[in-house]
Amino acid sequence: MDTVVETQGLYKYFYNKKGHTVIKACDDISLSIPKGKTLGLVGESGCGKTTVGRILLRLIEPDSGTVFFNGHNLTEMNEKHIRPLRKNFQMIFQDSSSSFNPRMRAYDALKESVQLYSDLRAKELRDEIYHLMSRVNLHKEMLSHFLGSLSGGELKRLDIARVLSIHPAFIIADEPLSLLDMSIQSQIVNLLLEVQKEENTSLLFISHDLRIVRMLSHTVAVMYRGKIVELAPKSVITENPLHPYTKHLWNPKISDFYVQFFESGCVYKNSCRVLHRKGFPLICSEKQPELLEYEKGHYAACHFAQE
Amino acid sequence: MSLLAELNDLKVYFYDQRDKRFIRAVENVGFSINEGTVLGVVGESGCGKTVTALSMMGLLESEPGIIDGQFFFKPSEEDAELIKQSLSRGVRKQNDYKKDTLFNLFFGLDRYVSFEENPFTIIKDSEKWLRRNNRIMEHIRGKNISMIFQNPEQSLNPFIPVGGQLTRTIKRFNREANSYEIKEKAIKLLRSVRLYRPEIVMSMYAGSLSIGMAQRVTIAIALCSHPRLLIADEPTTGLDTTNIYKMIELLEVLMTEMNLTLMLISHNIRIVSTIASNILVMYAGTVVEIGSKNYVMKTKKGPKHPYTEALVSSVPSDSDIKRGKKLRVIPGTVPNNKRKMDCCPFLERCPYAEGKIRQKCESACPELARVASQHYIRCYLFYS
Amino acid sequence: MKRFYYEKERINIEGFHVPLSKRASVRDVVSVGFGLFVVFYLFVFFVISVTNTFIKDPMQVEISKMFLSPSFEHIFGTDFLGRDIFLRIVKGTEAFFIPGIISVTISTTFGLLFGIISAYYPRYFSKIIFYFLNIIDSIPRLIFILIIIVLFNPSIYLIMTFVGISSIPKVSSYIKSKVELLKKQQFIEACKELGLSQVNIIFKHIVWLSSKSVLIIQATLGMGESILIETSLSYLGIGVQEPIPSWGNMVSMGKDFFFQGKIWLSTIPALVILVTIMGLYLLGDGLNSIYSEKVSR
Repeated sequence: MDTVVETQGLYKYFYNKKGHTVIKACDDISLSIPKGKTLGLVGESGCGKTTVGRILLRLIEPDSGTVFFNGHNLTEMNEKHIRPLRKNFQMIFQDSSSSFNPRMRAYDALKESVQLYSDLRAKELRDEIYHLMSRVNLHKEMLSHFLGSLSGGELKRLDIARVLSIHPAFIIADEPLSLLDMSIQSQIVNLLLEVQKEENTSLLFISHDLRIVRMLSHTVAVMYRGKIVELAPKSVITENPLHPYTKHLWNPKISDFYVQFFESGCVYKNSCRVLHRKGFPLICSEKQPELLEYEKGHYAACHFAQE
Repeated sequence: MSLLAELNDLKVYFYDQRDKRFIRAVENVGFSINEGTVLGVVGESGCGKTVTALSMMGLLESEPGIIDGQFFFKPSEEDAELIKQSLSRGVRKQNDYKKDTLFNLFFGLDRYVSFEENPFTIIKDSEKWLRRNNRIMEHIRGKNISMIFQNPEQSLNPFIPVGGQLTRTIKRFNREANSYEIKEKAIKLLRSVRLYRPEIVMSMYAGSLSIGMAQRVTIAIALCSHPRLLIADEPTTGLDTTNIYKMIELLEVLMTEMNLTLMLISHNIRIVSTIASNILVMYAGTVVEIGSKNYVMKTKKGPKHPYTEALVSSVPSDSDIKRGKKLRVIPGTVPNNKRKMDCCPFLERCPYAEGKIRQKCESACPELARVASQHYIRCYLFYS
Repeated sequence: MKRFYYEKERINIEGFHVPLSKRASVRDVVSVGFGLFVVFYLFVFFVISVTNTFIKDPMQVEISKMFLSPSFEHIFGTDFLGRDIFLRIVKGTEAFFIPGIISVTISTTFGLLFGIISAYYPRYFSKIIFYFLNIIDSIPRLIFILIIIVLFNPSIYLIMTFVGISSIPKVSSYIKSKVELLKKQQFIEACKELGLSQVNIIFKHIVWLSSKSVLIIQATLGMGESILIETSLSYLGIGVQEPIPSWGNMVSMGKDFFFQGKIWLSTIPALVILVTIMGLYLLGDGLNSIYSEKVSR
């Protein structure tokens, strides 16, 4: 299986005006997404999931680290050389209502993206746009509506249609479900599954809900405070999660707690159950656990992962 | 368990000035809440959940607004006296009291509104009615019924620190208390909503709070006066999965601590069902199912409205996820509320509307039918 | 008691975008209509005077017909040399029309350019531009123009070029604030990520789709302003000179006969100036209130 996207050791810290580190958004992130597969990225808000997605698209510059796309090193290229490559990786935004120009009609928005990489004539262009609309289950009459007036679910479909019009090899879906109703969420999930099946695209699915990520993705990566704490195939992560944070995400109804510690050591020590049960072992607050492979394809970053 | 609030036949219409027509927001909504219980209100967006809550609070100001209905509420004893005084100025009517402790908060509505069905005409003096209603509601709003709004960050003033907003609200209800007592009480409230280091939170502005923190602060402000009924309008939107259950758990704890009754509005039926004792399912401005949690959430056996069934199956349960099932989808969208209701509102999306029943569904809107004790369904499938 | 009636439902599907006709209030429609009327007659007058298709030469002196009050034959009456005032007003548009358009073109194009540069590339270059524009903005306009006229005695075209330059700072600050607001929006980022070029994003999405209303409004207001400046200069006797007619010098010439009872000589041109400038300002105002209303939900 050939890899489409690969990152190695991404670092991105955000600083305040005085120069102190405020947020460690990415802390040594290494991921790889094979062709036609989905990687789910899970974590709470503020853990740096979105930053990873934006770095992959080069909307943000990383502090260090490299991003490979089909063998091209994106981090070394400048904007001029990346633009022809942008055809291949696209993003579905969290808030679709603000990712379209509200003064455009739906037809114009789709026409813009279709005409970017192909020179279709009037009739063919119209047919192509109708075809796109039928693929995302939208009615043709929507095309004459202004974008500021569509509902959240319709806009999300239109966003997906816009992405599909380019036929990208890699799609990043940045929390596409968080602002939608439950019934519309399931429609979008099914649509994404269909799209992936038809086009054989790779997908990076970012979400805070482990359950929905589990439905969509082949591999799941769990992030906490800018670090990947567990990485495993989906069947493994449901049945045999190793890291205490993943266990907590599967069972969020159990209330968690917060204990203040020093900054060094494991990122999850502040509300770790294992740490409590073990009687606060020193190793957790002194040494950062490495992401080690415990089974084939199952990585976890915890000193007590095997227990 | 005694009755705390009862809403009968609420009807809310808005008037679209531009298109010169009526928009049906809510029609024939009714329910009752007992003291110390949780009523969960479920439905997709645009189903009239928020409008129901706002009309209960007397906060609907767009015209024509509430045009019919009764809302009986049992206020605390001192407020009951005050309301009696202000009511005594008007003419007493039989349907303004119930059991001598429940007051109709839509008192005198029928004197200001009259409407005909065919052709649909409403005659209403909104200003006079609102002025009259406000006279009663000033004893109710904030004191007896409080509300948490959908966007916590927007419902806080961005230019006043959190502590200032909290102390002002406390001062409104305790005129005699000195500043030291008020500050003590504010810190106590913030601690009771499980905020970490309340002294620091007091000096923060709304912009620097996270959504979860801001939601907790709004809850604290709503609880300043020890209300009897708390209306929580989508308190979990925008929160992470881990925080959603923390928030629900907090509401549950507060209910026992503060002796609260809760009306929880959400679009996720599974979240609601974790704490609710009764569930009200709304669709296109009407109630389609109401009943206790055990009946409504019953998985396979027993009657259930097709919409409720679709709502439940659109949220994956743990076992569904582990089996990797495909998610079920409710086809179509909520119909616009601009038509008069002459057929079943769920007709276009209903999988059961076929053959003989479909003719029935097209002919008229079904009534709420009783299928078990305290379990009502608006569907022809369960007519006996 | 207020009455509300239910009407038959319209069949078409609701596009939530409100058409311009529905978005505008009655006041807006009236003011924009009035403004368009003003623009129309200005244009017609200008075409007539340029192509010289008058019934009678407005420059022709007829002593026998002097001081005729408004009548059917001469709608606005005649002046102290027997010339028809209406025809002179038509001819007078020539004095400000082309110069006004020049000044508006200068102010909008350069204002747009500087506005975009300073919002998009906030570096030393744009800082220098803005310091320079601030200096221009701080000079009192009329006094500056008077000084230039006294020193160099330039043509009306050059004066209007100065007027155009002096209103660049206003336009560019409007455009700058608009672009800075739009730049942070997510859809610009989405366009960038789609692969649109920077030029395309700026000129299609930012200028054409989102800030053309600002430009139109500024252009109408600028036109009104330049007419005002031209007429006031002519009134002071340093703009267009007699016998070539201009609205300003017509008022100035007629004012000597005002107290002899011949009030139409100065009042009518003054009223025409008032109506024209009011119309242009109302046009700008009406367009502003129509465009600034967001697409309603």
